[in-house]
Amino acid sequence: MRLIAAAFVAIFLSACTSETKELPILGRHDFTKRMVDGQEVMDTLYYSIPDFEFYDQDSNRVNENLVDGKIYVTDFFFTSCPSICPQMKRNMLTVYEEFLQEDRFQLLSHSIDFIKDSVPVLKKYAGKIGISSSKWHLLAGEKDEIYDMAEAYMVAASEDPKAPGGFAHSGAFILVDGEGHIRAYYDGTTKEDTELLIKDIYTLLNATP
Amino acid sequence: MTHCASCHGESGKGFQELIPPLNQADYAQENTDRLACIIKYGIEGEVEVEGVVYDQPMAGILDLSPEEITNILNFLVTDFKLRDKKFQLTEVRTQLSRCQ
Repeated sequence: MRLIAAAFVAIFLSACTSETKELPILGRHDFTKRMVDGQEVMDTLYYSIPDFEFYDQDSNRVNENLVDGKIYVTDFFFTSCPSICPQMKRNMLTVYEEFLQEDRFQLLSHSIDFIKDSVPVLKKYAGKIGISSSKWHLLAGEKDEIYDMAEAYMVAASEDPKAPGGFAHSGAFILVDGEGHIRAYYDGTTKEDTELLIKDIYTLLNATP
Repeated sequence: MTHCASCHGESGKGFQELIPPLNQADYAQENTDRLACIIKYGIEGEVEVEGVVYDQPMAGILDLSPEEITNILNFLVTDFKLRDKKFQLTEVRTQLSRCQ
């Protein structure tokens, strides 16, 4: 009897440890009712990122079509940010280098400094970091569009005269799947969370045909 | 570390061609008489460090006391080989009184 119990425990434990962590779909979902064979069935309409359009450092138009069917990571920053941005960009560069050759992956960084961060400023910044707009897009836009986007990603971004550099924003990296669903948030200022993000990107890539 | 590492990195190596290195860097070693002012009031414009021109503005940290700046400079001395001898508080106070 003890042997059988031990075998059950062993099988249970091995099942737990070999299981890949599932990434939930985040956000406030809607539900809809429909009838199937006379029975009422509830369908979940998962929250997804609305359509958008910005320009990147090479004046490429970047919209939802670019990331359709692709996994992407996005964040909010500004080029003259003296506080958390360099650390975020250092960590994002690690993600960039890891997935540079992966066609099913993109990076989008929204500048929230709609006054100073024009396309040429973003171009110069991209050159200093040494990144290509085929993979990592630094995005410029109008004030309302940028802040609406931050709201859509459910992170904070605002003008704040008291904040270093005049803007306050979340340090989050946001992982989005090929259907525009937010799958996870990470602290973009830490190496530990960046490593976890890389692991989770692989999880999503492996689950995507 | 609290104040410097976000931009210059934990090992003081800077970040690409955006943020200059501090660790054994020629600019820091040749400007030890200005570093207290740079830490407190920041710096703008081009600086050449180890052959690379950087022009990202550095924000100052106005809240820092002369004692704290002395501690930061001595961290650079011990860990990043800024110079041979440690900074004294009187030297830092003198530098801060001459910031432009």
